[in-house]
Amino acid sequence: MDVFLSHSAADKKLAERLSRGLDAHGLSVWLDRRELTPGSDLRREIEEAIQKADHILLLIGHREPDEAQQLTWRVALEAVWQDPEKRFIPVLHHGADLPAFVVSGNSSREAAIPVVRIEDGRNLRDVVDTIVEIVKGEPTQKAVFKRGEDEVRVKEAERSHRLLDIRRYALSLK
Amino acid sequence: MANGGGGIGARVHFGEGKLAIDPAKAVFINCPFDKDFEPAFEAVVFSAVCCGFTPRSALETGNVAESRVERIVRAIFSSKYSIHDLSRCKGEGSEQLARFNMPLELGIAMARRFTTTKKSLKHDWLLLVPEGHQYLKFVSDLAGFDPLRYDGTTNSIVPKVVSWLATRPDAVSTHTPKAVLDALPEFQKEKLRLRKEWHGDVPWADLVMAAMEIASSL
Repeated sequence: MDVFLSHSAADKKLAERLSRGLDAHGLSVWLDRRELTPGSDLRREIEEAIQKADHILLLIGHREPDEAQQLTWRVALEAVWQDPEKRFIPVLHHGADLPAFVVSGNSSREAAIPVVRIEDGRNLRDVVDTIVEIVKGEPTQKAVFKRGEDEVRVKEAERSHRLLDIRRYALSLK
Repeated sequence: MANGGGGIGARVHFGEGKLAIDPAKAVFINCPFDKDFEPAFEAVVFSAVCCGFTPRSALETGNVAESRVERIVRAIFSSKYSIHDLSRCKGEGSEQLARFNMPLELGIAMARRFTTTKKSLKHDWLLLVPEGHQYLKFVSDLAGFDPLRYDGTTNSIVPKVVSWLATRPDAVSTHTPKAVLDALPEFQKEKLRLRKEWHGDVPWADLVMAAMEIASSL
C-alpha cells in the first residue's frame, strides 16, 4: 500500500477529496471510511494498515485532534520508529502547526520533513501533485513544499522555554 | 541541594506558589512505588519529562494537613493527563492481598474527564498493564478501553509512554525512545546520588529537576 491517510472526523470530506485525487494518480490509499466495517476492531485494523503502508499522510487541521486521530498518530509513530523506511507526510491546513511527534518520527534521518500546506481547500490539485511526487520520490519545486527545519526550530524553541521554566521553579527552591 | 534550604517554612510544594503547574503540561503518574517496579517508575517519570511534561505524583507534597487521597485528587484534577499501571493489582505475600490504590486513582482520573465539556481541557489517561495481566477479571468495567501492554522492562515501557505522550496535543517532544533509553541510566545514577544526599527518599521536586537537567541536554 502506498499511503495510509490519517485525519480527524472534522476533516473527513477533505480527506475523501484528497484520497480520490491520489487514487486518480494510481496510488493505493487506505482511508477509514472506505476500509473499516461496522463492528471491526478499530485498533487492530489501523495497526495492520499502517504496517502495510509505505507513507503515512497526516492531514492536520487547526483543531485539537480527536481520539481516533490520536490513536492513528500513536500507532503510526511506533511504526515509523520500527521501520525507518516508512515516512510521514504531514499535510497542514487552516494554519495548523506541525505536531511535535512528526519531528520525533523523523529525528534519526538527515532528510527534511516534507511538509505540505493546503493554502486553498477548494483546489487540491497542487497538493495532490506534491504528495504524488513525494510518494514517488520525485519532489519538485512547483508546489507547496517546505523544508521541515523551520518547523523543527519552532518546536525546539518551545521545548527549551518549557525546560527553562521548570528549571527556574526548581532553582527557586534552593 | 534543591528545595532543601531555608528550613521547613521555606519549602515550596508542587502545585503551590512558585511550583504552580500548568495543567495542560502536567501528567499524574499512578504507578507502584515498590523496589521491583522502581526502574519502570523512573522510566515513566523520565519519559514524561523528555516529552515536555511535568510529572505529578502522590509523592509530590508532604502537606500533612491534607489527607493522602485529597492530595491525590488535587494532583489529578490539576493535571490534564495521567498514566496508570495496574501491575500490583493481584494477590501478593502470604495473605495474597492485592493493592487497590491504583484502580481507585484511575477511577478518580476517569471522573476528572467528565468535569468539563471543553475538549481541550478534557482529562486523558493511559492505562498500562503487563503482558498476560488479567485486569479484566477484577475491573471488568474497563472492558473496551484497550490498555497498552508491556513486558515489565524499561525497554518496553518507554516506547509505549513516549509514543502516547508525544502524540498528545500538548506535547513538545522531539525525542525517540532510543534517545530516552540512552539517557535513562544517567537519570537513575543521579537519583541514587540524590538518595544518598537525602539519606532516603528524594523530594519529588528534586527528582523532577534532575530529570529536567538531563533531558535538557538530549
